Amino acid sequence: MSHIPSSEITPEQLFWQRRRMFGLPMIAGASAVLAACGSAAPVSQELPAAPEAPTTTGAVVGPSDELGNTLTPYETVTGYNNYYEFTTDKERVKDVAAGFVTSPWNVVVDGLVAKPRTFGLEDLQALQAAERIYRLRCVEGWSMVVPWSGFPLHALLKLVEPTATAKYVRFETLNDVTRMPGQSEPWYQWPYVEGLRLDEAMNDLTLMATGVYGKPLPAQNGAPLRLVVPWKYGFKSIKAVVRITLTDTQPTSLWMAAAPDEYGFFANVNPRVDHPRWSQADERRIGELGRRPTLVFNGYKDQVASMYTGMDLRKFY
Amino acid sequence: MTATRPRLPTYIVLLLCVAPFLWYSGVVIIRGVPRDPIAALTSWSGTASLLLLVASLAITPLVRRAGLKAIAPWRRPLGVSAGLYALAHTLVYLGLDYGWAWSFIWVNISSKRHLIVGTVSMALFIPLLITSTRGWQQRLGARWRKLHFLVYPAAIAAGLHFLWLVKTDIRWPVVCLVAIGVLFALRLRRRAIASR
Ligand code: HEM
Repeated sequence: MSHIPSSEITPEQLFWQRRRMFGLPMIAGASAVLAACGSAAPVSQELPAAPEAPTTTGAVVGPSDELGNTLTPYETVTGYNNYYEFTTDKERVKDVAAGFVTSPWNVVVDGLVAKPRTFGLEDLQALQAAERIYRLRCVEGWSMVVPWSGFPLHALLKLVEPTATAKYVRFETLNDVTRMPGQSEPWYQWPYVEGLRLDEAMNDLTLMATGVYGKPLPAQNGAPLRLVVPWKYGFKSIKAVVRITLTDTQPTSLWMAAAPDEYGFFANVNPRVDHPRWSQADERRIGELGRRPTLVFNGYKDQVASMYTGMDLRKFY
Repeated sequence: MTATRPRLPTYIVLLLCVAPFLWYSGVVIIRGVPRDPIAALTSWSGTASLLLLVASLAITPLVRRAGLKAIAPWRRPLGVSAGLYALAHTLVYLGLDYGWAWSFIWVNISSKRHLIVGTVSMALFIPLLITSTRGWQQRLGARWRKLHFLVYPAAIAAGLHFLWLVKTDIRWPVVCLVAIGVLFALRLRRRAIASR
């Protein structure tokens, strides 16, 4: 930026400089600074006609995602978390979760599988490693861009050999109020439960994350093992998973049980299907001023839309 | 009654009005700048506004029933600062959160019932803020009281705004709405007695 004569700084550039002010104290490393300098992805001031930008697999690791979105700084990714098992205050999850013990940790994989098995974390380390930069869109209307590491869920499922009758995958978070104080809140039916259809679970985008920014996953981000389903609202990406069960009936998630008319099973990001109480047309990227248009399937349409052909996405939200 | 009214130093009520600002400044100093500053500013200004609003509405019953005559002059500054925090709250939403992108703002507000009632509340606040000076009070005479009765619908709308925006834990919004309801009922009763 310093090479630009001040006479050439347009009001728009000033706007973008101001936009970055919130980000500056949080920028982590040199790559993030470089990325920030190229981050002038404009926020559309007009309501766009349902943007459906073509995307690649999202498997590239660099300072930005495949759409050119700058990574959200590490401090923000690990300091702003929606994790009711600890506290509903997103900015305090980090403090409350500090000291959460994630080792030893076992993950039971059972249900309609030929080879049910309990995995220790060491067993999972051996699975095919993956690095993925994904956009994370929260149902509340904010978003981040996060570099995850882990392994595709299909790598794990193949080991246990789902039977022909298996249609769904049910995930469960640790249920231990002594370690997760938020579970004393009476409003929800603990433990947190989420589910995917088997084809969604086998999709190559579906990741089991064990790390973020190349470091082990911090407790507040769902350590030691969490799901990441980037084309669905963030609440589908269940954290601190202890059990994965293959079933033939659609699992009822914690949110479906808490507010059945508000949270559906699929929860695909869709700017054209409003949450019953609010529009999903736009989102705020944390650290930015202004709003971005929300993308169909969070920008992963090419990889996932075929799974839903013929489905009424208004009905199956 | 006016001649013997005890007086309290003005700075006490001014301190009350800026207390939320000082409190949240302290939060920033101790805990650092929030990761989502816009959400924090929205939440803080909204909370400050609603608390000061309830405090302002509580003054008259406290003066009349609990005999705390000295705090009678607090009603107006508390109400005005509630209105100013609400204005800041709305400007954070319009300017920082949405960057004045009116098409997005329209879609967003019209799709959320809690934002619709929030807008109603803010719309009621604006004439009250403008006419909150002594000059306007004198100019409007008896109509000023009628106009400023709108603070009750504004408070109820703000309470509903709060109730409808929380996900599941409705304890605080319910406390606020009950307080507003009780204060409104007391006011209506006084009006009924006065007109008898
Ligand atoms: C144009 C009018 C208004 C708009 C657009 C607006 C918008 C918002 C938004 C966006 C939030 C955050 C929750 C969410 O994500 O939806 C919020 C929270 C809140 N607002 Fe408003 N608001 C308005 C007027 C008011 C007024 C007039 C008051 C009070 C007198 C108020 C009090 C509150 C309170 C108490 C909260 C909750 C704070 C918290 O606990 O986090 N709002 N408002």
